[in-house]
Amino acid sequence: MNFMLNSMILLSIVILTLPLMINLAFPHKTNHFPAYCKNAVKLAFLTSLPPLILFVYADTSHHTTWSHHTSINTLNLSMSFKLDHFSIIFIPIAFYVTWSILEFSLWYMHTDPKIHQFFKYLITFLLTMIILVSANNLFQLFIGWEGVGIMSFMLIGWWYGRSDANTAALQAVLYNRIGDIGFMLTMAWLMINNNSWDLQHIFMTNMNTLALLGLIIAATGKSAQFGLHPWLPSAMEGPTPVSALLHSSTMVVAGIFLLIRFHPMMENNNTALTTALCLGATTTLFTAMCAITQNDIKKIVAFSTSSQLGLMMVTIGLNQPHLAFLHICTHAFFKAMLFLCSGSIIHSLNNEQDIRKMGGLLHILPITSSALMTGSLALMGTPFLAGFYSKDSIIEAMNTSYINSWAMVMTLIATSLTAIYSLRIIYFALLNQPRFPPMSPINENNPNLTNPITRLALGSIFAAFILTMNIPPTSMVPMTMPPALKLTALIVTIIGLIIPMELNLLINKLPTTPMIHTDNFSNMLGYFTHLFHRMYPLANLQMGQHIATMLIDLNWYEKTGPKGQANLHNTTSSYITSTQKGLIKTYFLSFIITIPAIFAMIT
Amino acid sequence: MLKILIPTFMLIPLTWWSKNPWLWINPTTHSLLISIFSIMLLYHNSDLGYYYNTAFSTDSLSGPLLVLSCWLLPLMMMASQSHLTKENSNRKKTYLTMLITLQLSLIMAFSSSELIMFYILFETTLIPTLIIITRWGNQTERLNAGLYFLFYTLMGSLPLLVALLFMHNNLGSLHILTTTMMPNTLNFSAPNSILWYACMIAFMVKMPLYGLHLWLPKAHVEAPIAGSMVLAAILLKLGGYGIMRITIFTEPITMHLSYPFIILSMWGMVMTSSICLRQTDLKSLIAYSSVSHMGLVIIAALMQSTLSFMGATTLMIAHGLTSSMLFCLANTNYERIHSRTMILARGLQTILPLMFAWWLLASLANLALPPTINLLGELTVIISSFSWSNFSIILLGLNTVITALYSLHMLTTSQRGKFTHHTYPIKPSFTREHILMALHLIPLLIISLNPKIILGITY
Amino acid sequence: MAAAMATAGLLGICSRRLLGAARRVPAAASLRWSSSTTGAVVAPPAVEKRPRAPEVDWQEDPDKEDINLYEKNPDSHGFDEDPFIDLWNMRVVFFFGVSIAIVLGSTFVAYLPDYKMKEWARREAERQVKLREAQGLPLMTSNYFDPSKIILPDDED
Repeated sequence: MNFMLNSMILLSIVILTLPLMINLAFPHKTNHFPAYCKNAVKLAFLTSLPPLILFVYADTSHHTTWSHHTSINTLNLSMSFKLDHFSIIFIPIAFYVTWSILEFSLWYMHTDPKIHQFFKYLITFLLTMIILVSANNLFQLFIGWEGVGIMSFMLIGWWYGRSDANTAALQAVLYNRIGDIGFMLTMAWLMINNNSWDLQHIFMTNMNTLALLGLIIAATGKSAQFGLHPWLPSAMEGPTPVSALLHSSTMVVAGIFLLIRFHPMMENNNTALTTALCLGATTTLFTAMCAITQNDIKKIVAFSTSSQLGLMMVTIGLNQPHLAFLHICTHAFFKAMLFLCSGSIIHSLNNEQDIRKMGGLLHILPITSSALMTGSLALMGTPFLAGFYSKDSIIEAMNTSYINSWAMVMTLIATSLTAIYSLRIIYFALLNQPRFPPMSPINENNPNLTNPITRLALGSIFAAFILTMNIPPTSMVPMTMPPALKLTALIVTIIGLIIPMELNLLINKLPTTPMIHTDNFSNMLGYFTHLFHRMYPLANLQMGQHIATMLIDLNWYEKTGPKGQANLHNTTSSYITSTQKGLIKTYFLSFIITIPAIFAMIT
Repeated sequence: MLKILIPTFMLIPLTWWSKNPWLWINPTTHSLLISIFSIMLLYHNSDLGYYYNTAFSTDSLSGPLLVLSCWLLPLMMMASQSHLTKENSNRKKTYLTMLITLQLSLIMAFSSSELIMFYILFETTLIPTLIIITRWGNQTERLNAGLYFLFYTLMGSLPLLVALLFMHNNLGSLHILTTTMMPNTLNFSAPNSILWYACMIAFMVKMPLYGLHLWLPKAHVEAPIAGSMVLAAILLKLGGYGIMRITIFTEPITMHLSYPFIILSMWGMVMTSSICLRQTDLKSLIAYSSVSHMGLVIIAALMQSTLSFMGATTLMIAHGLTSSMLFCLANTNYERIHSRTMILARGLQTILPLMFAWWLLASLANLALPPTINLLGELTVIISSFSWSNFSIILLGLNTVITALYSLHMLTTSQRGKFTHHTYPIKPSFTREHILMALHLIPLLIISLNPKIILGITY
Repeated sequence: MAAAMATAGLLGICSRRLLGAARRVPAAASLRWSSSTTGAVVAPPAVEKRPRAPEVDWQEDPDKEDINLYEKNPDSHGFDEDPFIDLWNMRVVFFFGVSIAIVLGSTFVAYLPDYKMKEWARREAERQVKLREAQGLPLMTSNYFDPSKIILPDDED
């Protein structure tokens, strides 16, 4: 059975590369290329299902080494794949989500003249993501890691005529690269201390806190944790399918995925765990707070993604990597679907992203609305939808563990905020009277639009159930607890539902008072971007200009170096020449002074 | 070695006796043939290298650099074809002769096994380069650039000559093979440190070390395309090569004296990278990025571990191909816009989409995207300096961030954004330019698949 | 008039090429200049032609001597003006550069016979390890050569 597991997974990866090959061979046959890409991913998904089934029933896992790349001293670099619990489950999910998103892009991007290139980029991105999740050695993982970063740069900057898109793309690379310092640190540490980058070799030894912190920095950058988070909301400048694929379901979870991969190293290191926990708690609360006052529908979903990533980080900190992984899987479905729904709404309202200018869509976009509703409910953790299985278990695990209660409180508050911002989208976009211009091209008939959304909606309802029923958790999950703890998640969410509704009713009955401040903590994103995106670039660029270029290069090095020398010689030589102009009187005059002086000295 | 040297030498009569229409075709073809033959130098069946005679030898450090310099000659010829269309044939022939002479002296410099001989050829390379820069540069500043180039390099290398003569007097030989076997210790003392500085400073200027780098941006900016290419791709590597060769003679004092240089080049990398962020001049940006990358090579060459030597060799080859390609790309812009100012050539992706692909790949190689060998080189350098001091990762990591930023800034400014109207009458790109880029990039990718051939003597 | 003013506005911004075009437009002759400092409007004399603007060569201008190779030869590869030479130059570069150098070179590099004999060394080491394990010897000894096989000169010599 093992050979089937290997070969089917690898076959699915090969199927994924086929569109790229075909595009290389026939670069001008682009008419059916997008649909072809979609079908290839669909086929790849179907091919990757048997290994999943095999894994579920025979619990097989594998690592295979294909070819030896190179050796540096005794460090062997080879192309090798690790097909274990995580990659075997994640690969079909990634394929499924991508399939839906590609189909959606057929509709969303159909006017784009370079749609085939868009699909090619998406496929390349998916390939690098698969390399990332299936890599068995750190170098290969790094290839995927940087690959998804660069593809994210290319895709965020898809509409490259817009300077906002270009800045956002550059921002994404910048923050990811800061994270990469951590990755390189860990690679360097492992190379020196373990002399191997193969995962199974690493897991046989131990890693110290420094190396683990390197991994956490890497995950912070890639998964937009607090401190390196601003790129994720900015990345919404990209097309909506890109946001759905990269910035919610696949690429951004890579950081968490890395930590899950390395959990055997982390589970005994309390410093690293606490760091992850506090980082995650801060992220989840901070971004949830930012989410509640955003008006751009994509920004809200982006911040909620960031908040969920924080929750996953908390789970890593709780030492429950499998729950974090489960949350990655469930989150992929409903978050991708939320993005597709917002894409559908945006497209229907003529590129209107502001939720204040929506409303009443419940009646005119029924499929999108119901999917949006399902997705939001799943995100809140409504029982028996996808989010429930992972989120509820995470909060239960947190309630029953001996951890930092500060982090626990932060996470619970963030959970209730989840309900607030999800409800806010529903309330503003779907309910009440329409507030958009009457001539909007609203149409929901295209199967390329409805099918992916429906498919992902089915996923958000059933996927978690199927996953949890079939794959037993490998780490200890608490089974018994007092009802108060068991119900915390639900209670907190319901509070989060009721309070804003009450507040909303209250505010509607208040006399209108002029708004005094428009720049509050929450809608200014915690003043974070305003401080950090102005101060640091300004400081850096000024250092580059004033200190590095003008002061050191042009003044110290050039003025004192070559130019100083030239000046020195010029002035000296001009002094010397001015005394040597054949002025015989002057010479004699100097003799009159010097000769007596010499005589005086001698005598 | 003569199998490469004599054909290279015979390129000169070939150039002069070629009929006018075939003036470019003949040397290009033959230099390509020579480069094909030189690929043989990549193979080494043992650590020893090949000793052809008393004067020439190659090993796995000089082999890749030799192949690189042989490979660069036809590329330089192709790159300067449009630059020289307006010259008359005698001047073209002189130009080609200069390139070939440069090639000849480079090959001999890399393959000479005697350090005095190496020194002489090291200096010989200056002459054709100087002529290329000061005769075929585009602006009057080229004279100033030539002056800077010559003075910095000569001032740096005179002490080397004295040091080499002194060491020859002491040791009786400066042959690389014999000296590796000779017990020669340079202990820590004041005269010895002066000797060490004298040995190093020539190569530090050539690399260039931060602080001695002023000549490089000037020379790069003012040189014609072939000059920029050969400067970035090979001449800078003479410095790294020289450091790795001469440190055999200067043990164990290097351990003590290299600290300030390592620190300075780490700091300099960050500084030059941040200078890159503020450059308005495309060629100057690429030149400063060369300084920054060469800082890594200096660190690696002075660190003297097996790993760092591998990193230094790899990075030299990788950077040679990448920066040369970037200069070619800058030149294609220059030939269309007639300005090196970045802001005047914006949004070119719309007009020249295939050129964008080359720009993208070159920028990605420059920022060391895995799995290119640039990454392998940088990573090994980072690892070896991390094992030297954990704190070095801060500066090196910062440098990788800034490198990514300015590479992509260059890409974004020149290729993305809205396209400006004065670029409307732009020429389409030519097959010549595409094949030029491809011939830079394909070797880079091939080596990325099989990097062991450029990992140097310590592999 | 308005068109002429608009043209004049464009002139200042970027393109000298457009200036040439504008000069050919008759409306440009009656251009009125309003001084930016005094605000005085200076109308050119109706009869007398304005002297030609000094020919400034802007660096970003397309070079007048620039030969667009595609105009003469639409199939140009950018090597030479002469189509025949151009074609042959392209063929030569592709044949020797790609077909020979890249293809043969990469084949050579890919099939290098055991670079620096690393693989042989590894095989040999594994054989040694197996041999030593089978013989029950320690895996490593400090003797690089078998001491019994080294013939040392006698102390008397």
